[in-house]
Parts: sequence; C-alpha cells; structure tokens
Amino acid sequence: MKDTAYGSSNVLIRVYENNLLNRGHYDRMLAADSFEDAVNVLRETPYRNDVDQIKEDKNYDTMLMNELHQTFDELFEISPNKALIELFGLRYAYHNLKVLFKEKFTDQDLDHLFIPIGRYDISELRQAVRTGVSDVLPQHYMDSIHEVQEDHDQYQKVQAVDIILDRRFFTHMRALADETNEPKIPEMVENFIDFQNLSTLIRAMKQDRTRNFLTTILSSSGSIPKEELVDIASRDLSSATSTLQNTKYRSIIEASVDSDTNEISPVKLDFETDNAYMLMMRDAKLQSFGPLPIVAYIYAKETEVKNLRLILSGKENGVSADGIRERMRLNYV
Amino acid sequence: MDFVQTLFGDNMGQIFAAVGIVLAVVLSGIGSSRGVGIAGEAAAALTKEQPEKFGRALVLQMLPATQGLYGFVIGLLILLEISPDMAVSQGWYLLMVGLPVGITGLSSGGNQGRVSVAGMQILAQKPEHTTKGIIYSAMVETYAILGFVVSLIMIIL
Repeated sequence: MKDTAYGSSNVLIRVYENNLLNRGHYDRMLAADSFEDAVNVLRETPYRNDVDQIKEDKNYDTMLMNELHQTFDELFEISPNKALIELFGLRYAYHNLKVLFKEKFTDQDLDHLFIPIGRYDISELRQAVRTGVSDVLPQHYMDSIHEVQEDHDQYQKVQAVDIILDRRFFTHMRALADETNEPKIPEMVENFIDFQNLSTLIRAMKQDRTRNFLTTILSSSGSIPKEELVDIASRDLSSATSTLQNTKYRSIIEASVDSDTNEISPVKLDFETDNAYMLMMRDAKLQSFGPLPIVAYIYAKETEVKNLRLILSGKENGVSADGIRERMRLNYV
Repeated sequence: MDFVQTLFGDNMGQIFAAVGIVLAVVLSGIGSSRGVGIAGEAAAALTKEQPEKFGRALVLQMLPATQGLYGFVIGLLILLEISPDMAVSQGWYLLMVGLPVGITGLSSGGNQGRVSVAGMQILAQKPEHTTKGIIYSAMVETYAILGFVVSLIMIIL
C-alpha cells in the first residue's frame, strides 16, 4: 500500500494522541493519598465520565476494557488497511477463542470473560467453534480452531487449549503481518514474537521444564530459530545468558540480569522487552506517512491501560508510590 | 513525410505551440491536483474531529494549488504568441517553453502535498506551531516558481 494512503488517518492519530495520559497525570495519580484522589485526576482525561462510577464500585477494569474497545472501533473505521488493525488486535480474538473452547469443553458460562475487540464478531467465532465451519472467518482462524478440536478429540485435555492457541496466535500473527503488505510490519512482528519467546524460555528454564515442553510452547515464527532456543534451554541459566547476549537483543538481556543472582530475571525481562518495544514505537513520532503511527497509537493505548491498571490497583491496595513507579512501563507521549 | 504534410498542412508551427500549451497546463495540473487531493483528504479527516481548524487546514491544502495556476498562465501566454504564419522552429520553441513549468509543477505538486499533510499533523497536535508547517510546505514551492520564471523569461525575451 502506498504510504500516502495513511495521510488522513495519521492526522487523526495525532488528534487522538493529544488525549493520551502524560507523565504529569501519572505523577499526580501516584502522589495521591488515596484511591479516590488518584481517580479524581482522571476527571481531566477521556475517562472523565466513569470517575464517579469507579469511586463507587472500584470496577475500573470495565472502564479500561471499554476504552480499548472504543479505540479499536475507531481505528478499524479510520485505517485504510483493516488487516493492520486485525493483526494488532489478534490477541483479543485468540483470548476469545480460548474462552469459547473452555465454554464448550467444560460446559460453563464464561460470558463475562469475553473481550469484544477484533475484526470478527464473537458470534462468528462462537459459531465456528461450535460447528467447525464458517463462511466468514479466514482460513487461519479455521486452522487454529480445527487444531484445538482435533487435539481435544484425541486426548481430551482442556489445558492443551491454551498451549495450542498461544502457539497458533504467533503463527497467525506472522502470516497476517505478510498480508498487510507493509514492508516494516513483518519485522516488527518477528521482534514481538522473539520477545515473547525469550520470556517463555526464561520462565521455563526457571521451572526446569523439559525439552519437549519447550518445543510445544515456543513459536517458530520469530527471528531466532526455535531449535536454537531449545538448545539454549538445555544449559544452565548463566551460560544461556551469555549465549543470548550474542543475539541482536544484547542490551535487553544485559539490562534484565538481576545484579544479586547474576541470572536473567523473568520479571525484569518482561519490563525491558516492553520498554524496548515502546522505544521502537516512538520512532513513529517522526513519521508522517505509513502505518507506524497507527500501530504506535495502539501500543500507546495498551500501555496506558496497563499503567492505569497498575496505579489504580496499587492505590487500592496501599502500595507505595515508588513501588508502583518502578513497575510502570515507558509512556508514549 | 507526405502523410505528415496531409495531417498538419502548413500549420506545423501552430501545432507544436499547441502541444506546448497542453504540456504546460496538463502536467502542472496533474501535479497540483495530486497535491491538493492528498492534502484535502487529510484536511477533511481533521475537520471531522476539529471543525474549528478549517481555516488553517485550508491554507495548507491550497499551497500545492499554485503549480496548476503557473501552468495555466504560461499556457495563456503561449496562446497569445501563436500566429497563422509562424515558422515551425518558432513552434518548437513555444513547445519547449511549456516544459519547465510543466515538469517542475508535476513533481513539486505531489511532493508539496505530502509536506502539507505532515503540516496538517502539526495543526492537529500543536496548532500554535502551524505556521512552521506552512513555511516547510512553501519551501517546495520554490522549485515550481523557478520553472515558472524560466518559462516566463523564455516567452517574454
């Protein structure tokens, strides 16, 4: 797609960016003495209409999800390339697929767990999960659904739903990235998958998982080959650290090493990869054309939701301002 | 040669001059319509969210429109030079007169439109700095003006 096709949508993105929460908002929320005072800061942000409601029932999750939902709806409307928004909202579709399969296999009503974000309606997904056929969903979705169904028919293990769908999610993402026909997007998605793989790898090593387990859960759609990652896992953590330092993610690995134990800490790694991703997104500020500003806005909004949830739950449970601050992700604006 | 003779008769000079008019007006017109078009899309998107910025968005949109005007003026001037008894060489010369303004207009119009769209993003996010965006966009205009001036000198001198 020609980069000028994004001209008008990017102008709108700049308008929306003015409404993102900035450092000042976060600082004042952190400095607030109580949950109520922190929520009051939101009165001057797009969340203003929900302030009174939250103070009463403390149900801020609904507000944050609604905000995300609305953001995606707006972006689907303005983006000249729908596949792009589908790609970056795919995680919600896969979340919904997991819920649908669990409903089906365990006969529970899990309606409250759905996140209504995505290119295809939940009713479409539900029909496809129940019947195994769909006139609307593209082949990639159907492949995922069939794989889960076949596995369940054979082994009857509900836990496998998560594992299969997580792996299929990355494969699907990688394929969709190519379908967007944008030169930079596949590389970005590979980076994202690498980050997730690294996080999974380090966690699995901490838990002494088997080689077989790793082969099942790691994705082969990243830029570091899966075999290499599985090989790294067979060594101890400190030699794994030095091997990983030879990849292009050297600075991230170095920053995630815990100074006390000299090993990579999974929590720190997640923090560093999130921030590295945000730094990559900040390049979008200097671009007037192309898809990057839209993608960066999605990530900025998701980070805002993540940070707000952190602050509000921290305030609700009396965590100190510093304790919250050190866990907060880099902000876009 | 006979075929060309039958086709154009003795008016070869006028035909070439007419081609010059066509090139000057059409090429610069294409450039301008492209530029005004993409800037207009962005301006419309902005107006949807912030209608109060219509005036300044319009300025940014109109910047790439001048190329078409330059081509139009040169086209008219060439038209005035055409006479029934002009030599073929004079026709060739008038054809060449149309090229500088046509070609610079063709390439600068679209490019100026891109800068205007980027300026529209300044208007969206930091309206107090919009003038800077207008200046950046006006810089691209320089090269259209150079083409216009050369065409003008060629026809006047």
